[in-house]
Amino acid sequence: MKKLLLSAGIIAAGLSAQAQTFSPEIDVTNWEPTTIQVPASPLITQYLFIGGHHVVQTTPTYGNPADTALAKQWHDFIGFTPDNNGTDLGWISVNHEMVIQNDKIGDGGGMTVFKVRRDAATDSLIVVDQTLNDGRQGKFFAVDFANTVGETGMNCGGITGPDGRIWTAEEWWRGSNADLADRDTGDFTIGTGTSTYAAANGFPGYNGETIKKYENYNYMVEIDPRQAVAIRKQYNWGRQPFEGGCVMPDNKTVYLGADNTPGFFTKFVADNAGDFTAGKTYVYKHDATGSKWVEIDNSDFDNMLNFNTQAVVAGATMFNRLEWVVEIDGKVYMTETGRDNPAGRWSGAAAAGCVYAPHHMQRAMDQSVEFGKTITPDSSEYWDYYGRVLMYDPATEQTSVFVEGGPYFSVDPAVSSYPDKHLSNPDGLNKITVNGKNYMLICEDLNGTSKGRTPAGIGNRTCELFMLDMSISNPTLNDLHRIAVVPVGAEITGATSTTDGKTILFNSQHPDGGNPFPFNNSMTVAITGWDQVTIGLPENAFEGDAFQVYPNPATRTLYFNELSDVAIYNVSGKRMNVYRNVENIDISHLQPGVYYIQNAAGVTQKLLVK
Amino acid sequence: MRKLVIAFFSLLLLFAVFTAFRSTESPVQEIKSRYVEDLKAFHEQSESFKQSLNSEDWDEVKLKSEFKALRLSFKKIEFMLDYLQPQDVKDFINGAPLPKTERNAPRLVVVEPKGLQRMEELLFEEPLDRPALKKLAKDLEYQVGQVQRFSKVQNFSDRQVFEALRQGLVRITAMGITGFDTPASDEALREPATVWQSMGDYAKLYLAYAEAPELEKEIETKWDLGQRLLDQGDFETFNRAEFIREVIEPLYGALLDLHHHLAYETAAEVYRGELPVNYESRHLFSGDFLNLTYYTGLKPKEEAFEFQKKLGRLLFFDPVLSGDLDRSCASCHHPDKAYSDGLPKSVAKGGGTVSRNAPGLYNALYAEKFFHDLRADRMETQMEHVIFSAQEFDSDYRRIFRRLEESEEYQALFKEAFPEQQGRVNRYSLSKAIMAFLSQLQSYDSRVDRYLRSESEDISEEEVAGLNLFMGKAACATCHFVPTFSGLVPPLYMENESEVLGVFENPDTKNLDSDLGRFAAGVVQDEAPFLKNSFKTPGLRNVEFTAPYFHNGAYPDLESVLDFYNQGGATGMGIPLEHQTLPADSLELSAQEINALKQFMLALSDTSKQINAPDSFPKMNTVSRKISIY
Repeated sequence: MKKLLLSAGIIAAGLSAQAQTFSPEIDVTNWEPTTIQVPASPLITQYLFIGGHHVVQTTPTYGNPADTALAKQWHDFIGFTPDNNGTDLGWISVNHEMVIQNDKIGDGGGMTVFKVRRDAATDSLIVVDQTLNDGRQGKFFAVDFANTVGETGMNCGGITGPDGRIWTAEEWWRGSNADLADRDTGDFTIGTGTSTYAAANGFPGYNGETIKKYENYNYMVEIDPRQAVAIRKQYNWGRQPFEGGCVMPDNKTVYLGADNTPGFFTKFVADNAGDFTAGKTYVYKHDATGSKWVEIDNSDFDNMLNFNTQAVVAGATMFNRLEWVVEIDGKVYMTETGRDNPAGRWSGAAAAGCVYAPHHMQRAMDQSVEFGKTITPDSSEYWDYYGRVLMYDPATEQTSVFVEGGPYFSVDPAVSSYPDKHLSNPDGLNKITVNGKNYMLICEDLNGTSKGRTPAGIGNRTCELFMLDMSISNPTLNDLHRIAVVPVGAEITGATSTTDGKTILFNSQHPDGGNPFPFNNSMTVAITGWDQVTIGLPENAFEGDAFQVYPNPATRTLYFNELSDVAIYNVSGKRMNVYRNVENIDISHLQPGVYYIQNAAGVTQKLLVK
Repeated sequence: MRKLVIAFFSLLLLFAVFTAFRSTESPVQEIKSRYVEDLKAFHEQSESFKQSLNSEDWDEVKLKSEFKALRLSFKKIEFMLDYLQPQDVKDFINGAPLPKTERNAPRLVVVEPKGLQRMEELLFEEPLDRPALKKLAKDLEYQVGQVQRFSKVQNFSDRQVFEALRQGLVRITAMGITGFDTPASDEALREPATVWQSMGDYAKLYLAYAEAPELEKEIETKWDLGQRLLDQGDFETFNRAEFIREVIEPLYGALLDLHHHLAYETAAEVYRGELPVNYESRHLFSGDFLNLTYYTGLKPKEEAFEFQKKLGRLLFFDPVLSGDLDRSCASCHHPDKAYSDGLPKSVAKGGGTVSRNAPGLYNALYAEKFFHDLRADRMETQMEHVIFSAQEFDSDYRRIFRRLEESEEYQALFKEAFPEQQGRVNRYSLSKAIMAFLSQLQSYDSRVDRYLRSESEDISEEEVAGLNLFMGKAACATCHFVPTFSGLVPPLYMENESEVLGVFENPDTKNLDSDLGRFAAGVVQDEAPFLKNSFKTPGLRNVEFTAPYFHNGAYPDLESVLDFYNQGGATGMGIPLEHQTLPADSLELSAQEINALKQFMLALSDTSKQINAPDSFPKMNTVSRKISIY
């Protein structure tokens, strides 16, 4: 895998040509060059749920009656629950990764749920009206946490389980009540709430346990998307800075990732399929003898409250910020987003007996060669700028690198360029099954703009959504297809798909305020029509050596048969865009009309964009 | 046939060699190899400094001179390195010597400062903390090595060289000649002279190539003049007004001309987003230097913009936004006081005062964050805090939307201003309209600006002396950066700084003001101890009209503020304040110098764009309100 990457880098470098100066204007009169048609995109884009704009229905909270409020922002995880018994498509649950006081919705973060129907004629999605059991009527509903399981905060990732069961992850790690902005920091008793406010949904086995208010944060929390209420905080999976997880098809086994350095990999196995209130909890230790899973007794509530301590006692395997987890074809994939220089963040746990994941040891060995001295994952030199996607195989109980972020070129070719595909700090991870074929969805969340994570001179982070064909056996970065870029300043989060394989849903989180409405708000976007399109570049798209352009109308990409500088001119021959050393370009900014495209050799073709 | 081909090839080869001599090849490859070489030299210096520090026979004098050489080797390449790798420069190489919080981390993590500036502080502290310095030297060598490794595969184009050069002009003006990154050393002009020389060497490669004799002459002459001024200059007496007017401003325009003459693409052709600095501006000291659209999303060229401005003006002065229809934005932002209100703290609804001083609004939109405590990351949020505050508008959106939608006149105005929104009144249209109004409150035509742009001679000797003090000895411009004179950090102008000054309850006592500022603003990422008592660095244009000063409005006039700084803030006056970012040393300014500074700040006034309340307001159908001029 690594070798492949390196050689790809060298080839790219070798082909790089002398930069071409494109004339600011070309004469386009009396001249008919080859014409390339770019048909209109068959994809439908919809902005389903806009934070701070759409109105949500609330429950009676903090003594206020049931009412309406503007939805919270900072959309993150998206859950999809199919409506198997009805005529609608299903329920969509959206996390709010924030902490804010809100008299009506409840303090902290939270979730919003809504139901969609697929329009028979166009396949687009329609948000439908609902009446819930508690009498609330409308389109968008705030999930009630405050009155059920206690407030929630920084709802980042989550889990869509079998039958569309939904869990939300609370990532807001708090060390004391003083860190909470809660209006009520009284002790919290599981099953009853605090002395001031009831939070009635309990948990068999833990009911009656009294904890500090801050200790009621940082769990996976199951909700009911149909009734917009929380069901339970999953105390038996441990109190951890959770980001993501997945439930395996057996409906018993759960894998969970913690966003931390060290981040531990956790497993829960239910006694009975579908009942996650009883079962065993484990932490991953790749060098254990026998099973690589070390049990942490969840009948002792202290073990669950202090899960990290128990993981360290178990000498668990350490990762560098685990994020989302997804099951595809029986394998478990997870993003390890990375931290530039983890150094001291995990040296203490290492000294206490924890072990570095094998790929970090391998990286440290590679870097030792590079630096000419011994590097360990906690050396100040050790770097992890880009992160990666990992694979865990339940059959062998081993983790390995599936796609490494980058590229970082450790060889020194004479010249190169900003790679047209750069994967940095993968975060959200999910899948879509289109016409029986599985694709992985990878969301970026850049940890910085250095080390090639953004092009030079561009300080703004641009986060992208990539799609990867899972039938490719040893995928490289070249196999990734960029399918969406979010507005300036935004992070792309929550990518998921509808079970019919037609729609990809994702969020644009915290965009810059300067973007025009609705792009200035966090929002849930639906792109429909994936069952109708070709993804990427078909084989045999090019014949012969002459300059050729192949348009993919769905992703608004132009592919070229060779690496080149290119310029785009408008209908009157004025230069609009220049691209250096590219094999494909994104033309989603081109309004329908006539354009010209010229390559470094001066070959010009006409572009007819529909 | 074969022979023919060979002959043809050799001809081609000859031609290539010939043309190379005639410089028809773009200089970018030459520049790239120079860059790699210069970076290598910097890395070698960092390696040798590390070794000297580790060697048995180290001595402090030798170390200090080696450190100077190390800094100069960085300065030779700074304009390219900081353009290409700004985050690395900030984080590891030459960032401010202050703690930060880790970017994009799941929890708040404090990152201690690294790089040359922190090393310099340690090197000049007694006694020398050698272990700490050794660690920093090791880190620097490692990080520069990393950057160098990445640089070898970094391809750049002519466009980027021009952007780096012009950004270099901004950096040398805003940070170089002000001594921004050399607080402890006494040769503050030697470094900019080195930067200048190096930038000139790179820039001149394009002159031979351009075939534009007049431009060539202009650039060469100005560059040489700049070199002479810097080489002969002394930090305290250096005439910055002359340097900016005669060298920087003309070159900033001439390099743009050269870029266009050579037909290289510009950033607008490769990047679809907006950038903070408007590349097409010929001047630093002008209203179009920064790109309004980047900061606000406003589109001044669109037809609807005129209507947005008109609507925004009505909304700004109309009490309809407040719950009880009793106050408007203008209640605390008076046009004749540069849109501040002249009070220490503004009057609160229901009596008493709000907790802080109302800032002026000229150029206010050119910011990354708003409020004295930087808690709002966009104008829309800033307004929201005022709307919700029980001490201010005490209202909510839905009430405001309803009222405005029930007024036929307002409804029509919203339709005109936001045709694509079908006249919908929402948070977006409300805030965009008010921003469109505020965008007109530009102040970039002061006497100082016009003098520096060579549009007028109207400036006194005392004002020039004041400018030089401001950008030199008095160190004002190391926080109030040019050309905004605010805490918006050059050369990217993407980030607002805040400072811990140690402001007192009032200038006559030595009781520290108890306001915790950023630390207590409710922003999780700002809950770091070093952000206690930290406040946004405000812009100083039109400071003449915005008294009283500081976040608590406790300092009645410019004299009291200048006196506070002259004494080194709280720590300088013997009241210890952990994490004070204002140096505690006295500035040792004479009464005459203080007066010159004041005269310079007064010369920065420009209220020519003042807009007063409109004569009439739209009719409301459901509510009645009394409109008073604050």
